[in-house]
Amino acid sequence: MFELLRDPLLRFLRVPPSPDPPAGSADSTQVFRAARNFYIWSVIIWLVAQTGIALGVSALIVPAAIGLSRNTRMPDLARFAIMAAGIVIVSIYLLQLLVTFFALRLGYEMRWYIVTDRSLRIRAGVWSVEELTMTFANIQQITVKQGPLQRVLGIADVKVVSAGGAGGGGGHGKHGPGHNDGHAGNFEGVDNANIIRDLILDRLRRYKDSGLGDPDHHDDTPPSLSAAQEVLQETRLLRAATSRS
Amino acid sequence: MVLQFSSMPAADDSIFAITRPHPNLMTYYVIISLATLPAFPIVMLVNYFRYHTMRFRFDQEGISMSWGILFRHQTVLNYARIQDVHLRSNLIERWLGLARIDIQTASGSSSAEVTLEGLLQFEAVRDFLYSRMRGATRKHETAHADPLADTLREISAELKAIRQNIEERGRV
Repeated sequence: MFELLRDPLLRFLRVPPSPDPPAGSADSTQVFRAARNFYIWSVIIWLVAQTGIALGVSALIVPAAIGLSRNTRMPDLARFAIMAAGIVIVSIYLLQLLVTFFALRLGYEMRWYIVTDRSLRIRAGVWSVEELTMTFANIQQITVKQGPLQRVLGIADVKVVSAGGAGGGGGHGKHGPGHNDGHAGNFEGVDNANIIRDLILDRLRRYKDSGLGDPDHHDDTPPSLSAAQEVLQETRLLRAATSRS
Repeated sequence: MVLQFSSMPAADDSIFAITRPHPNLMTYYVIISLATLPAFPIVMLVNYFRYHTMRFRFDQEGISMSWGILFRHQTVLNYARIQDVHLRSNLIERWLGLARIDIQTASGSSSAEVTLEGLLQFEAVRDFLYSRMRGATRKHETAHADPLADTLREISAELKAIRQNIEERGRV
C-alpha cells in the first residue's frame, strides 16, 4: 500500500526531489543514505511512543465505557454524546497512527547526506524540509554518537559542528525529521559512521586554518612542503613504533 | 573536474537585484496569522508591516536585511563570515513556492542570524551564498593541483599503514 501512495503523497507534500550536490569537483561527490536499520530503529521508537498514546486513550475510553454499561438510567442523548465522543477519539487515534507511520517511512527515505571535497549538504524532512550546507573550512569538530539500541542495530549518528552556540540543541526533537539544529549537521542513522568520520577528517586535514578567521588568508607554505612535513612526521611516528615493538 | 563558480556575472546580477520579498510571502503571512485564531488581528498587523518594510540588499561583500516600523531591525553580515546555510520550508511555504534561508554566523546563538524570507529563487541565492563562503572555492586549497604534494601524501599514507601494521603485530 505504501508503494502505491508514495508518489501522490510526495507530490501533495511538495517534497523536492533529491538535492543537488554542493559545488565541488564532480568526482569527489559521495552520497550517503540512512541505513535500513535506521528505519527499524525509528519504527521501534514510534511503537514505544504509540503504546504510550494507546494507554492514554484507553485510560479515557475504558472507564467511560464501563460507566456507560453500568448506568442504565442515563438519558439517551447523554449516552449518545458519550459514545460519539469515544468514536471520534478512537478514529483520530487511528488516523494519526496511519499519518505518523507514513511520515516516518517517508522521513526515512527522504534523507540525503552528501559530501564533496569542499563541503557537505544534508537534506531531511517531509513536513518540514530542511537542508543544510556547510563548508569543511568552517567545521570545528565531529562527534559520533551511538545509543544501546543503535549499537544492537549497528547504526550511529555522526554530528558535524561548526562554530557558534548550539543552545541546548542536542536533546530536543531527537526523533523529529531532520533535526539539524543551528550550528550542526547530523548524519542520522548511518551504518558506516567510521567511514564518514574518516572521510570528513581527511577533508578537514587540508584546511590548516580550519575554524574561525579571516576569509581565505594565504598560507605561504607551499603545499609540497607541508606534505613533506607530514611525511617527516609520519616517519618519526614509524620509528617510534619500531623502537617500541 | 569542472568548477562551476567562475562567478557568472549574469546570475550574480539577478541576485544583486533582489530587494523585496515575493508577494507570496504576504499570502503566507495571512495564512499563518489565520492559524493563530483569536490573535489574528494583532499577528496580522505585525506581519503586514513586516512584509511591507522588509528590504534585502546583496552587494559584493555582504548582505543586509532590514524590517520593522516601530522597532526597526537591520542586520548586516559578510559572506566570508557565514558558517552554514540552511534551507527550511514547511508545507504551506512549499505550496507557495517559498523557502526560508537561514544564515548562521559564529555568534553565540543557535538561531539564525539572518533569515531571508519570501524568495522564490531560494536555490539560486543558496548557491550564490555558498560560492562566497570560506572554503567554497579552491583559493586556499592548492594541494590538489600539486602532483608532488599528492605523491608525498601518498607516501605518508603508506608509512602510516606500515606503522599500523607494526603496532598491530606488537599487540598480538
